[in-house]
Amino acid sequence: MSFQKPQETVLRETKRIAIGEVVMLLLMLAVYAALGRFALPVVLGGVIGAAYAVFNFFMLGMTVQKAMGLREENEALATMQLRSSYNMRMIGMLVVAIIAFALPFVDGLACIIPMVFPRLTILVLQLTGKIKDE
Amino acid sequence: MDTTILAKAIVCGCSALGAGVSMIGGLGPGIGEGYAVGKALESMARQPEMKGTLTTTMFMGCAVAETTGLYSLIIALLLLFVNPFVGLF
Repeated sequence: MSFQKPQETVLRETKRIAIGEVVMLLLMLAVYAALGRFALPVVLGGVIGAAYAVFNFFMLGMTVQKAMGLREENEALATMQLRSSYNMRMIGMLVVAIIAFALPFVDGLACIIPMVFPRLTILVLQLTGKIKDE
Repeated sequence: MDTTILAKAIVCGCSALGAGVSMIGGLGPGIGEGYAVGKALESMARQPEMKGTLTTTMFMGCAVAETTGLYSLIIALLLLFVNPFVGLF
């Protein structure tokens, strides 16, 4: 398996998503605190979930970069690459979530909530005009 | 047989089935992303100077498309591990 150097676009977007993820994680922890359910397992779960969500986004970027580097004749290969990457990342997410639910010192629910934060971050970026909806 | 135990067993079984059915939603993004990258390659062959814009658009588009599969996964996990219906009985 060859490793490509990440392009500027991939690094820039991953950085933006990571910042959004941290902000939303803090908001989530504030909500937990307001509900009186703030505890160490919640923090651990949140951090694990957020870290995996950023890693997932970065791997998506690397796959897109690799696929876009192919020629038009290799369209089928690019399609397969993206599909297999999607499957692998979903399986990874499932494994992380199952481990989080299995471990007694990690809150499983707090682990899976941050996995949707990248989508919310993109929505916020679109609403603020940082990403143009083309 | 205690009806409460029977009710819980039915709820657990139906939840497991529901979790499996919800994962059907995970099929869509994989197909869609593959199709999108194919079309992006076609576009890039026509206009190679647009590679940067296409890559960024593809990247964000794939992330958005993937969320649907993620929702399915989360619903499946909630049904399996944080089942809210078991508490009803």
